[in-house]
Amino acid sequence: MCSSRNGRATLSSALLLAGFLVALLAIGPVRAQNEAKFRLKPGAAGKLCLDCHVDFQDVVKQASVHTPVKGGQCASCHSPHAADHGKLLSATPDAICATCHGTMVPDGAVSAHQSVVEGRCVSCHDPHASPNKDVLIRAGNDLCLECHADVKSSLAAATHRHAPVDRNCLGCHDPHASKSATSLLVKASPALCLDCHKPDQAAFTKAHVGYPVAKSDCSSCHDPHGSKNEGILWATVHEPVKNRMCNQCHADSASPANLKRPGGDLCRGCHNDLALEIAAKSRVHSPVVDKTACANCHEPHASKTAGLLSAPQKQLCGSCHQDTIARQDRSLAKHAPVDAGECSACHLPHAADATFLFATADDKQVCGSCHDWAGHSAHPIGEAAVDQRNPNLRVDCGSCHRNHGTPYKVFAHGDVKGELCMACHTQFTR
Amino acid sequence: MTIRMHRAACLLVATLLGTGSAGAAEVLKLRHAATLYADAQGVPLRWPQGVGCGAAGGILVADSGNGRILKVEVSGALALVNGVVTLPEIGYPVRVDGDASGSLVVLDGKRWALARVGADGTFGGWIEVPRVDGAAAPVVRAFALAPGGSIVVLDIAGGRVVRLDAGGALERSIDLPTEARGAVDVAVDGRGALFLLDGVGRRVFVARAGDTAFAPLSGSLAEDLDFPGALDADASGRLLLTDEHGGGVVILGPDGSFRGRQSAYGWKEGLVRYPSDLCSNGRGLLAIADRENQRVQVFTIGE
Repeated sequence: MCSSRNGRATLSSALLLAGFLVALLAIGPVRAQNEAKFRLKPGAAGKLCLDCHVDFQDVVKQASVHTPVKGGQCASCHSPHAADHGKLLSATPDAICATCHGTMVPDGAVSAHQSVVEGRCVSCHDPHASPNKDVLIRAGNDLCLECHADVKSSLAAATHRHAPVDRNCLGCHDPHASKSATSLLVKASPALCLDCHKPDQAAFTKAHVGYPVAKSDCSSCHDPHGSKNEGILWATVHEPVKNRMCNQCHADSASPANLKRPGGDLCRGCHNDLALEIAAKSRVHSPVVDKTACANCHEPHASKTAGLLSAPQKQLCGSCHQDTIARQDRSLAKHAPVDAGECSACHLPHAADATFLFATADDKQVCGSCHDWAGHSAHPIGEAAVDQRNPNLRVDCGSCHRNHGTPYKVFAHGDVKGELCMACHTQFTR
Repeated sequence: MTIRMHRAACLLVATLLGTGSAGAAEVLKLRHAATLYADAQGVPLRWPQGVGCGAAGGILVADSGNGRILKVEVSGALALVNGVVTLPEIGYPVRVDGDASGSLVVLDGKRWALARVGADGTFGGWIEVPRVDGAAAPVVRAFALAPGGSIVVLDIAGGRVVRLDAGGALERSIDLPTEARGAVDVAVDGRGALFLLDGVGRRVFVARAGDTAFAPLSGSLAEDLDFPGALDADASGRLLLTDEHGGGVVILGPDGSFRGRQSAYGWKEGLVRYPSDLCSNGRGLLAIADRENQRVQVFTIGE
């Protein structure tokens, strides 16, 4: 443990102790109030409930007991006669906890734990007692990994694990909220990492080929939990990084902003085949050729996503095409590839000759890669079937369906019981 | 959709009651006039992506899928092709406009470069956009012709909008605003103000004559459209935008405020699917490249 971490631990302990003392001081008046309010006999508060709830006699013998329980102050949370809330609680669970603990999310917090924001304190803490510290329902990382299954599975698969992860998630994360960093980190990267790692050490500098780590976001290359790659690099690593060939892209690895060529010109040095393929197409996705170019979508060093994408497709594509993702969210029917974040199942991400960056202008072929359109219905479809509404169009999948969603079943353009058909077959309109 | 309806309805009520700030000239209604499906030989349009209301009159169409430019005359409910320009140099025209002499400027979507085409249809060479030091070669995403013959160019590789004079010399260069998330089009008004459409951010920016930077003109238009694809400034100072993904035309006042929405997504004449460009000719007509309906539609503009 580093000195600053110890310092923080000392501060946390002091705060906890102070809170405990405040709670102890508060119990006295609460007990007195309850005894007065419910006209209990002196000293009865801690005993009356346990006369019936005998199972709690064992509960309160556990290592960690919630202070009001320890003091027999059942009525500080429960209303003994009647209540508007389940388990005879005198208020909503979050309001009850906040009575003593206040808000656990500081003003201006950069990130907050969802269960805390939603007032679900009991998803981590037992309100009565527990064998674990801080009345946590489970000890250590097991509690966190119960919900964070993705981290659990990636840790299980990792051959190189970040040692602090096995010790305690709370070494890096604040379980309630973080005032200064995303992902509940107690500090943002690189400050958090530099508490343990010393970038001025020769071995460290050599491993990073002189890269100015102290000014960088370590998690842009490293998976902070663990990885199958040496150096806990993310699952997908750019070849030059893997080979420590920084000078393929950077004039000087100590000045990473000094790239050898601007924008996509740099990437073209190695990915020229792709550049030629793109140049041969009629329609190019704008981000491919703008000032930021490839780095709009790809991480230059390492990524958790295949193809060095900077985020999973639904998130990445949706960062610009918000309307398209929103359309699917509103839609009665959901197109599976959109839900699964497989935008590239239908669209070519770089360039295409067809509109919508489809691989072909014949949408029957695009849809046909998953759907058996030929056996779909007896309705004429294809080159011979002229759309009744427009002589330039042929009946195809898009004549009836909008793949990112509509307010109707099977993402049809209208109600399939009539409106959809009547759009073309107007002669049958009554 | 509901919000959009609310905004349009509120505007109508406010205008009728005289409580809205929209002047009569800012409220615009489109009435379908004509639709162009094919040339005089019956060759159908294929995914037309650009329209230009050239100063010489008529409407110019970038018939992208056929790799050609069409010159169209509109008379009442008729839109007729009276000229076809096909050039081997320009394989995929996506934007077109013309000057008073009938010469054209065409954006080739495959090369992302601007070409001049003579009034007689001959290739007049590529327009060289000066390269920014240290940047990749210019990539022209869109352009607009300004009065006086200068050309306003959106260079997305250089991250800027430049204005070239009639001879091609650099007159003005303004960096794209850092807040812009995906610039898709530019427009210029009669007073030399440059307008920039941020399609991803769904906002419009302006740089008036003499300004050295773009400033936001509109707020977020996320409530009013899905994904804007093209922008034009009309003679009354209004801004007209295509809602490419949502289908329709959105009208903004000179101050960037929402002034209404016309047309909608659909197949029938008067409706549009993925409109990729529009232009107003200053004489009461608006043309729309109705890309996925593979046609061009012409509307009369009513106040």
